[in-house]
Amino acid sequence: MLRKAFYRFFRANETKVHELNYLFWECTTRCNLHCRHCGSDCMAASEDKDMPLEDFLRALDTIPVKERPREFTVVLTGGEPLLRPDITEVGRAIRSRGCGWSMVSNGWFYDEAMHRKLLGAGMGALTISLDGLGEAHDWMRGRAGSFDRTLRAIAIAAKEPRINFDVVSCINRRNIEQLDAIHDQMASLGVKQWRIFTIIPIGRAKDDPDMHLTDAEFVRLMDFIQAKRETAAAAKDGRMNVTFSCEGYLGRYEQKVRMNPFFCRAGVTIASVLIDGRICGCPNIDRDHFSQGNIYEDNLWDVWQHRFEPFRDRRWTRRGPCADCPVWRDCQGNGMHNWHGDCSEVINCHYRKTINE
Amino acid sequence: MKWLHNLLKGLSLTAALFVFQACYGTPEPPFEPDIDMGDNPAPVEVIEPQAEEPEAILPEAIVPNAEAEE
Repeated sequence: MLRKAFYRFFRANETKVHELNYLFWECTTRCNLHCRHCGSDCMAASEDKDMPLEDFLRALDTIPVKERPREFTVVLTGGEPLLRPDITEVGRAIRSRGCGWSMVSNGWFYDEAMHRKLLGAGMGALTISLDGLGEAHDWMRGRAGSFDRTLRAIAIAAKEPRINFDVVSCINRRNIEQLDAIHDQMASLGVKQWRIFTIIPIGRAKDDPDMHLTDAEFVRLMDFIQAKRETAAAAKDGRMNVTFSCEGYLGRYEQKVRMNPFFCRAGVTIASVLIDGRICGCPNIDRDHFSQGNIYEDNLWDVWQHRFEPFRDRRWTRRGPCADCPVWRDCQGNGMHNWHGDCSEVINCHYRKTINE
Repeated sequence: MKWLHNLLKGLSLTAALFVFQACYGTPEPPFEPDIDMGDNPAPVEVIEPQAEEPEAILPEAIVPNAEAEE
């Protein structure tokens, strides 16, 4: 009880201080794959042009150096960031400003040469997406051969000690039976961190029944992660750390499937610069509803300091099923990306899944 | 209370509170204290490109847009 009270106090204080330390840049929405779960409906010939590097840097430079904590990180996302021909120039420019940078990639273009180039440009962390083994991954990614390319990328990155690397997997009805096999494959490649998430019903995944786990399957997934974490903790031999992402409040599984209690930091320590210049929390949050400004019209730092109220005061989420929910004080309406459209109610409640089973 | 934030952050016992990643993002890069600010280049070895650029292995349907190429 005391621990819970402390964490509530800690979270409130972090929200009040709102130190920006994690800045997404949606540097392209072009993508070479066609993932079934893509929240942004990326495509090869995106209507949006890549944002010019100098435009992003102008926004980044509004953040005073003294206000940037030492762990301040720019996270390149997309689309597929490696489709930008100037990706190493991007990395160098960010690094030369004293910031760390990292990237989320599908791994298709990630070969040894690319790896060396990105390291040379100062990349500090990398996440590669793997959504199953063999055909299950290719089905999810909409392109034959994706699995082999992704596996090559993982093998290269996993043996690189200079970066903080993890693999992220979207678990769905097609790959849930492969959990142990995926785990073993990752472990055999030397992967140290495996992060699992599930789909929220947005984008092109919204009407795809294969994407969404039943409540029973979701609980099975939680049990799987918990068991792997307990085994790893008991073994103390540095085996792979399996975690569930911070996508939602998990009730009885809190701190059993990840290190820290749930805390949606979107707009609290996390911001994003989207492809069209809009300023928001994480890129998977409803940008039409929650964008707080635009770097082409506003000063990014000014926006961060003086706006973001819906992110920092979540009392507005006490509506629909959340209105009288007994765990709201710890959940606070779940992750912000679970509110879309008219926001009349949360579209995905992880807690409810755990108590239904 | 910024002082409390800094205090908690500085305490190794509570460091786990500050280890995080966005559900959509990456882990945090390891902090390197010797990063030069200003115009200095990144403090890591810069290795010039040795193999084909990514465009070389792009499928035909994907053509980097003009602005990005510039």
